Parts: sequence; structure tokens; C-alpha cells
Amino acid sequence: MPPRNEEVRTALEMVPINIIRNIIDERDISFTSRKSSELIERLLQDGWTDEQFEELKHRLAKIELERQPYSRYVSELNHISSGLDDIPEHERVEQVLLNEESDFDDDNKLVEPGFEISEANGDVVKGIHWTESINYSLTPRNEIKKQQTLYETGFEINFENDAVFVDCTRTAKASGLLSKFDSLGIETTSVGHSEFSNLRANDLVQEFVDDLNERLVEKHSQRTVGVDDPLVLEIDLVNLLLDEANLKDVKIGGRTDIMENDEVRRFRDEHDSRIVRLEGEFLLDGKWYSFKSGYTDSMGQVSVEKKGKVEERPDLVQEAFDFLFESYEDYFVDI
Amino acid sequence: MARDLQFEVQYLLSLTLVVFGLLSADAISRSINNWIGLSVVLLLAVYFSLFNILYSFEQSTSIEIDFIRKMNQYARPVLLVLSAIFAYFVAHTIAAVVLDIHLIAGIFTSSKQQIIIKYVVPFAPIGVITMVINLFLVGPIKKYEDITTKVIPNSIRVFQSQSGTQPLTIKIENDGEETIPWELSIETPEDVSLNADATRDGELEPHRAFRETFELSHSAETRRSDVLKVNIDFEDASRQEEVELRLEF
Repeated sequence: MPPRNEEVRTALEMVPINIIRNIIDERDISFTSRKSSELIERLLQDGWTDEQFEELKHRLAKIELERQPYSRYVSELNHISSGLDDIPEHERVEQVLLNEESDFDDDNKLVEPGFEISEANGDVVKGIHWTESINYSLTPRNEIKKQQTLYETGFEINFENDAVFVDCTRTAKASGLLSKFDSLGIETTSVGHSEFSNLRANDLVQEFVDDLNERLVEKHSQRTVGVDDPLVLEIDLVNLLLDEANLKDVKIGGRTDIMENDEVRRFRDEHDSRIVRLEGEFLLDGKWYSFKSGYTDSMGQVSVEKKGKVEERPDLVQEAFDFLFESYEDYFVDI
Repeated sequence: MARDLQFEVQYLLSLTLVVFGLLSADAISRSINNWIGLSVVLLLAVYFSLFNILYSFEQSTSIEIDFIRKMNQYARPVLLVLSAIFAYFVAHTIAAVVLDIHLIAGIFTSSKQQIIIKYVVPFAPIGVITMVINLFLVGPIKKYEDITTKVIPNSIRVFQSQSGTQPLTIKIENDGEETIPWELSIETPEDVSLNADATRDGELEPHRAFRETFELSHSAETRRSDVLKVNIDFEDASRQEEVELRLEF
């Protein structure tokens, strides 16, 4: 049974116009228009089989993956205390997590919250932590309504660089998972500069920026010869925490690179403050990415988002994240 | 350290008063060497003129002029020399007056001994004072100069539940080169409780900081104001901060 036109249309509407043009090219249709609605209309006329629709959905997943910010909470793996000392670390972690495996019933409803492991080898253990929470919220009629939400929190325990990554957007969920790990014997230590003096913390941030810039310039000059000192890194938001009676935090946003801006310098040097988050953009392999890097109380937070047109290559975002993380690791994690 | 102009003026005036007082008392000025007293007066004059210029510039304009800044730098050593000479002068006066007492003058008859007592012995108290200052004051001050302690904020409205109350943040920061052991204790007034241990201790490596947030709540029957005390103890120094609490409902 071929898919319904409406289904295909909704899926196509989520696809950016340059990819729609690609699909048209791939189907050898000669049709051009500047309106995506016309392009979609033409594609729908071409007819879709089930198989083609499945492939389209697959592509859409890749596109969404590339468009989404790749955002992770970071913690440092400290110690695994599970009593079984004679087997390798990753097997110990696996065992501990499988003791608390999640369980679903036939209708795909969560029966038992817990862990699901998707990959486990000497370098990494990856998986999902399934939880369900019940919330009560106030409706517009001023009645209390019960709400049940299923959360899937992705995690990655990386033994290569002793890092624990948590993939979710809620700080509370991430710290909840870390304390769950802690209770299971997978101990983590805090990431960031909360235990450093403000002076040293700001130095570390400056060193991070310099290091990242240097590596980007080096990468850039491998591709293009002749341009000295190109613009490859731009910080356009600086978030500071102040240890002062009157001021608590300051967020300075910029239209250009503001790391050297007078106001940023003034807050950094003349107030008792430390930089806890940076946001900006960087140029890697000819593509711009926007990024965030910093830390909340004890967890690091790193995020990368690809800018510009979609290329159906979600691996680029991951590469950019890894590139950024290499500098992040040196100045926020292993200090 | 910021200059406290009012204190400086009071200090200089009292110096002047003592010097002129001693010089004008007949019984004293007869036995002392007036030149020492006069050199104190002379230095006082120099310092007063420096002070005068600096003060008037500071009051009249907020522009920082390089020359003024330099003068400001020189004013401090002049003040140090001035107080040293003053101390010498006072010690010299005491020695001279004591020597003038007939009974004691009878013991030290040779002029050599008299010169030693009048001019060399007065250096001793200055040396002792400098040593004491160096040992007990400058050492610890140097050591703790790079330690910052902060208790934020300085007044808190405390409610019966922790959620409505602003947290109390305590920070100890070590930007020096030595590892510093510290002890922290928080004295809460009656009916006020903290969410965590009120005493902590630890060691701070160079460039490390201790930051902790405490949640307050109270169980008082009436609305009132009170004071919370935070004591931070180091090996040979301590700091105390107070936070004003207003217990509310």
C-alpha cells in the first residue's frame, strides 16, 4: 500500500529546499521553482512507493540530526567501585547498568524504569536511561492535573578520555542521572572552575579561547594558503558569575567578537567575577558552527550547532563537537 | 590599601604637637640635640607640602595625572622615614632627659658613654619595633593578603521555608603561593537553622577556592532582626563577618 499523499507532504515540508531540489534531480525531473510548495507539489505528482517513503524518513532523520544542536552535559569519570575488580572497566559498568535494565511491555509502555545499553566495548559504553515522572500542573481552570512523562536520557561513558556525557536538554535530568550513576558506584567528579579562584578561572577560560583559536587557525591554514590570521573564532556571549553583594551575574552579548571588549574586560578584571559560559561561532573546514561551552554548578555543558545549509551530513556536527571538546577537555575537565 | 586622609592629618598633627611640645619645654630642650627635633619638623614640612598638593589635586579633579601618581608613590616612603625619625627623636629625648638626672649622670661620666646613650641607644627601640612588626604583622599580612573571604549578601530576609529565602554564599579564595588550612564556623542566632553543617574545614591549594551556599530558615514566633556571624579561622589570623537577618513570615 503506497503512503498517503498527506504523509509524504508533511515529511517533505520538513526537508530544506536545497535537499528537495536534490531529490528532484535524483528523480530526473526537470522542474524548477523558487517556491518549495511548488517543488513539493511536483514531487507528489511523481508518486511515492512505501520503500521510497521509508528512505525519505531516513533522510529526514539525518537532516534533523544535522540541524539540531549537538548538546551534551559533561562530567569526569573518576572511579568505578562495583566490587568486581578483576574484569575490565567497561564490563563492570555494563554489569552494573544491566542490573537495572529497563523493561517495556507489549504496548511499548515502560514497566520498569532503568538502563538500555546500545553499545559497549573497551572504549565506550553507550545507552539510554529511561525514566518516567509524574507531575501535577495547574490547568487554566485552576484544577490540578496529573501528567505522566517518559524521559529518554542518552548517555555515553567514554573510557578513552574518562568522560561521562549526558545527552539531554534539562539540567535537572542530567544531574539526576549522574547521581544515579554515583549511587551505582560509577563515580564522577565535577567539571569546571567552581573550585578555582576567580583569577585562575578566568585565566583558564582565556587559555581555552587562545588554544581553540590556535588550533582553528592551524586547521584553516592547512586548507587555504596565504591568509594570515584569519577570523576563525568569534565569542559573542560571555556569562559571568559575580561574588559581590550587589551583582550576582552578568551576561554580555555582542554583535562581534567581544572577548577583548572593554566592558567584558572590566567585568572580568575589576569585579570579583569568573566567566562560566561562552557562546560564539567558529570556522572549521570551511563551515561555520555556533557553539556554547561552560559549566553549571558541577557539570560541564558543551554544545555545537551547524550553521548554513543542510548537507545531509550529521557526522560533521559530531566532528566539530569532538574538535571543540579537545580544547574544552584540557581547560575545563583535566586541569 | 586606600589612604585614610583624615587619619593621616590627625597623625601628622599629633606628631607636630609632640615635637614642638618637647622642643619648647625648657627643661627638655636644654639636654637634647635640637637638630634631631628640627629635622623631624623639616620632614614634617616637606610632607605637609606634598600632602597639600596631592590633596588639592585629588579634590579638584578626577583626571589621573602621571606626575601626581608618582608623587603619591613618593609620599609613602617619606611618611615612613618621618615616623622613624620621630620615634628616634622621642627615644633620644627620653635618653637625654634620663641622662640629665644627676644620679645617673654620675655613673656615665665619660663623654663617649654619654654619646652612646644619647645617640646610639635610641636606635634600639626602633629596631625592636621594626622586628616585632615584621615578625607578627607583616608576615601574616603578606601571607593572607592574597586570601579573599566573602560572605554574600550582607543582609537576608529569612522566611520560615528555605525556598523563599535568599541563600547565603561563603567564599574563601587563595591566590597566594602557599597552601592555607582554614576553618569555617557559622553562628546562627536562636530559631534560625541552616540546611548543612555549620562548621567546615579544609585546605586551600594555591589558586583554589572554596564556595558554598547555605540555605536558611527560621522557626521564630515573632518578626525580628538578628545577626548571623561567620568566623573564618586560619592558622594565625582570623576573619569575622556579620550578616544581618530579618526574620519574616
